Amino acid sequence: MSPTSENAPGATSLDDVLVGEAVLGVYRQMFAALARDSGAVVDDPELVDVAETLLAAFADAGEDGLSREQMRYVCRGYPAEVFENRLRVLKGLGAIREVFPKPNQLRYRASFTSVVGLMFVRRMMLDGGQSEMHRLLALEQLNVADPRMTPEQARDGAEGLARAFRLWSVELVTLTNGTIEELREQAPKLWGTEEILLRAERLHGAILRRWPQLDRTCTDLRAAIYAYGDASRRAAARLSDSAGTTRNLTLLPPETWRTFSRTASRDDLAAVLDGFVFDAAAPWHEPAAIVTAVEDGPRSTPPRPAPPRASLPDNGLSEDAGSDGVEAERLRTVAEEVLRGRDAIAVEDLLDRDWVTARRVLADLSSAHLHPELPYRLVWSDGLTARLDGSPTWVSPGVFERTGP
Amino acid sequence: MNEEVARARARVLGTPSIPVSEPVPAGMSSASDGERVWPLPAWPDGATPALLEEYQTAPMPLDRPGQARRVLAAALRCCWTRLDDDPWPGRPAAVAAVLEVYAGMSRGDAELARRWATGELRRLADTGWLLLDEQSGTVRPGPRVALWPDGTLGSLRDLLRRLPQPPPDDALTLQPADETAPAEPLDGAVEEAGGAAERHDGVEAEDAGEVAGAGE
Repeated sequence: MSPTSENAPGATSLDDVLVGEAVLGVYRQMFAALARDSGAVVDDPELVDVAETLLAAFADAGEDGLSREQMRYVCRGYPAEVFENRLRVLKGLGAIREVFPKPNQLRYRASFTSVVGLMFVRRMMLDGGQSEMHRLLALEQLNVADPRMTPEQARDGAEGLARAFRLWSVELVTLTNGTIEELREQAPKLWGTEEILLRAERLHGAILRRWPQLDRTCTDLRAAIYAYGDASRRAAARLSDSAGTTRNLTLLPPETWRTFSRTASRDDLAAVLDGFVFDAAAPWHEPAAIVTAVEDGPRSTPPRPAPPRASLPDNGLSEDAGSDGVEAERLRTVAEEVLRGRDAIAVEDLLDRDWVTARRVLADLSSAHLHPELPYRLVWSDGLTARLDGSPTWVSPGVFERTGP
Repeated sequence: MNEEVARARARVLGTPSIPVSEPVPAGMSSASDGERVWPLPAWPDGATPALLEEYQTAPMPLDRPGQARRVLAAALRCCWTRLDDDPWPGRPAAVAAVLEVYAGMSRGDAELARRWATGELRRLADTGWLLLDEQSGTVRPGPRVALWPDGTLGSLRDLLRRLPQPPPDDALTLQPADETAPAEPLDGAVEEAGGAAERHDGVEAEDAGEVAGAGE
């Protein structure tokens, strides 16, 4: 049914106009039943019924057609102005025309194309194009097997299918991203079955096998088919997500329940529990729980008294907290006196005085060595020197040295 | 009355009272004050619903259980005057005295505490823990307190001894303002549902502050 224009685009001639006029004529007849006037589509389903009644009467009437009075009689169920309007539109669009194109014709005949168009429209209304896709795919399959088929026709068919699949998946994706109610309502008409995908892929394979030169068109078709498959799966996933694990797609979504519970009257809500008897509320207050509640409750007096304070005046913190600063400074002074600018000094030289003084120095040096913050250390080495006349009669060799700044 | 119907009635209505002349349905215990008798649920082996906690089963949920129990304690402080006896049947006490005791126990706005306590008194009366006579403005222990086993009452007796003294009865009768106190919240009861929501926040925040302060 799709018009094929064999002419190169851009070059318009009288022939082009003729071809275009023929195409427009087919269009007009096809959709005459849906036309409100010659410029718009019906806004009342009843108007389509008028057209259908008329067309059925024409089919019964046979080759003689119907006169105007017979048509009016068939449509006696509808108001006169509606009938007149429909007749004018249908005549204007060519769905009903005179038996012979002469003036003052009294008998009319109906166009076959309009009936087919109406059938098509009704079917589309029923199942939203899905079974139409099945039919189209089956037809294309037949066409591809037909030896008279040309590559151009095959390419047009494939492009049309690719376009249909693309639009189809776009619509599904839009629904999937929309509200769940709309998706639940519309999607079953739109989402595909595995069968459609299989059939489309088979058709695609058949076209590609027969006309390998159409690979570019076939790539488009393949992409469109896969896009449609993805969109279909996503819509199904969204639906089953919203239905929870029950997989029952007719379950109401939680929002609906919430809205109901918020807007329902008290009687509506209570009606759910008609026929049930409930025990009266019987909370239990254990004595121990009462005691706990009273003791944990907010109290007028602070729960804990302030800690006792001495009656003597408090003069704050003591200055001498035994901090290490003073002692460390003293040790540093002693160590610097001993070193006198050198980095290391032998212990024997230090002890070369009377032992009473020397042992005090030695104690300070040991303290400096052990102090973690002072950069001095005492290093003892092996060996023992006997000094018969010294005050300590033996001494080990050792070094007092600076380890850092 | 048919016995099954009587038992079903007792379960559905909570703690309805029946005249002493009526038989108590079999399988229920009862509490009587001489004129009326209240059929009460009976549990095997002297168990109470407190046993649910041992089985880690949630008891019936309560809004603000702490507050309800504090009000119950305040009511018992006034009604259960002879602590060596059983709490049931106790003696009637003025609602104003109970509110006074509760206001003395709690912190913050005393007027607000009285309003809250009035609501809790009604809820406790609905569930059979208190018998509230709003006409005369008196309250007395409800039949459910008769279900407390005697062995569990020791700590409660100690607690009630520590609670603030209720004002003497003549103090209440001398002050007309206090005398109208039970009647006044009744008018305010209609707006309590609305007023509670906004006034509630303050108390809750206070409670939260208390908890946070105790945790530090």
